[in-house]
Amino acid sequence: MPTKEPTFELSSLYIYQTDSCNLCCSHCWISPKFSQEKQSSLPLDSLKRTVSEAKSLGLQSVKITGGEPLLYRELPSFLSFLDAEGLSVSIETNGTLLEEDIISHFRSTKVQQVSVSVDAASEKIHDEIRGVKGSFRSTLEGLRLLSKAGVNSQIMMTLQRKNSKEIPGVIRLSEELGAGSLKINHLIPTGRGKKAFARGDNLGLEELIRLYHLVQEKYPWPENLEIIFDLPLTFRSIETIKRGGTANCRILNILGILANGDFSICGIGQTVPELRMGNIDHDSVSSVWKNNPILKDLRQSLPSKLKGICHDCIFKFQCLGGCRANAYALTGDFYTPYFLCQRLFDAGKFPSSRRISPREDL
Amino acid sequence: MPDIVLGKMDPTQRYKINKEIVYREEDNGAFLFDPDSGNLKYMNPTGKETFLILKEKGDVGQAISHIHGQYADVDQEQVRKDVKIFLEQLKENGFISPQDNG
Repeated sequence: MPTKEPTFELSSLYIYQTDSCNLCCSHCWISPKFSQEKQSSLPLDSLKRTVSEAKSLGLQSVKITGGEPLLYRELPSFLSFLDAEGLSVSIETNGTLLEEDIISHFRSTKVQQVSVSVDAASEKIHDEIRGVKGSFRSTLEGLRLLSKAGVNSQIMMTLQRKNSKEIPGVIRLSEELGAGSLKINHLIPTGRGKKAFARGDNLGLEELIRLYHLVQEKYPWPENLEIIFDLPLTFRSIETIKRGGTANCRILNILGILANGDFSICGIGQTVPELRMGNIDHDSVSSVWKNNPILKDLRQSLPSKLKGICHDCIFKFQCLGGCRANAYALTGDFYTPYFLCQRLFDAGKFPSSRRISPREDL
Repeated sequence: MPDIVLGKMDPTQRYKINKEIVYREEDNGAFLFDPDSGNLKYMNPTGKETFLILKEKGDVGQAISHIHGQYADVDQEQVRKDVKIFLEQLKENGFISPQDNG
């Protein structure tokens, strides 16, 4: 009897609306070019047609990111369209270009969340990391405007050696600025992050784990602020695993659209050209989603073909090996283990209670 | 026979742990993992204890008696309901199956 193939919904589109940014962050994972000019290279009509078509594949949400998405000239018009389509929208921005008019438009088009990067409570450290003097003040002003308008904001912080002592300050700042959540990301070695790793800007495993436990278990959380420390599941305590939160690579249910209209598995196509798969101007999203060999292979092979410690981890069906784009960018292989988990294992610190082997009879 | 009224649940019912299941214990709970389906269940310390009783020697009634003994201030009926829900979840996820009592 033929078995029915599992279907994969395209639940979210990640739209990289520009390939440029008005900041020059030392850790950026996709290295957009530096520019302060408005851009409209992504053709709005094709974009709208693609989004409408994707609804038949299960599309529910759209993440607008970049480069800096506020440099996209057609953003207000695109947001109105997404609202009319009834899609849930989130935006990732550096916050420096947020002004009352566009924030008011966020509100009227029911944008669910605006994530804004703040890497330190210290102006000097933030500006150093972001590569542009004055960015701290502009970003904070943007966050204040969001809060005043009642738009839900999330603060994102990328943890590295330079700002590792800034966590308490950023938590306080997040509370003062009325953010709904704070997401603490670890540095990843792609794009400019690769050079950051080469310089030794990344934190060692022990320091990451120490900070994680400090934040998740010891630091007093402000009442109205959710704090998400984004580390793979195996780093997390059993209590925080139970609490849930983001942990999985959504690679099987997302598609990226780059600033030139190319499809990619996410934003990684910006730095790894072989992961591009057609263009919104001349390819249908249904055809790409259903027929692209890279996507088909990922669906068949995750998590069964994961290698290294990821193959032996009890969380592999949940996290699918962490960020697969990162694995590919580092090694040219989607199935190599997540670099942090493998380092933990190589250091002899991967918990045996989170491994599948050895199997014993129950 | 345990002195607990189990409603539709048979107090003498025994369960077997399905063969491929991986059990991993930690200080504050435990995980059950099915390598075939990928199902993963987190168990808090009480769940872990209930599971171990079922695994090692007990039937449902024994598990309930034991848990009630540990938490005497919790209503017996509530313990029964909680154990029932817990067992249903384990069954639905394919971690345990009812065993013939014969």
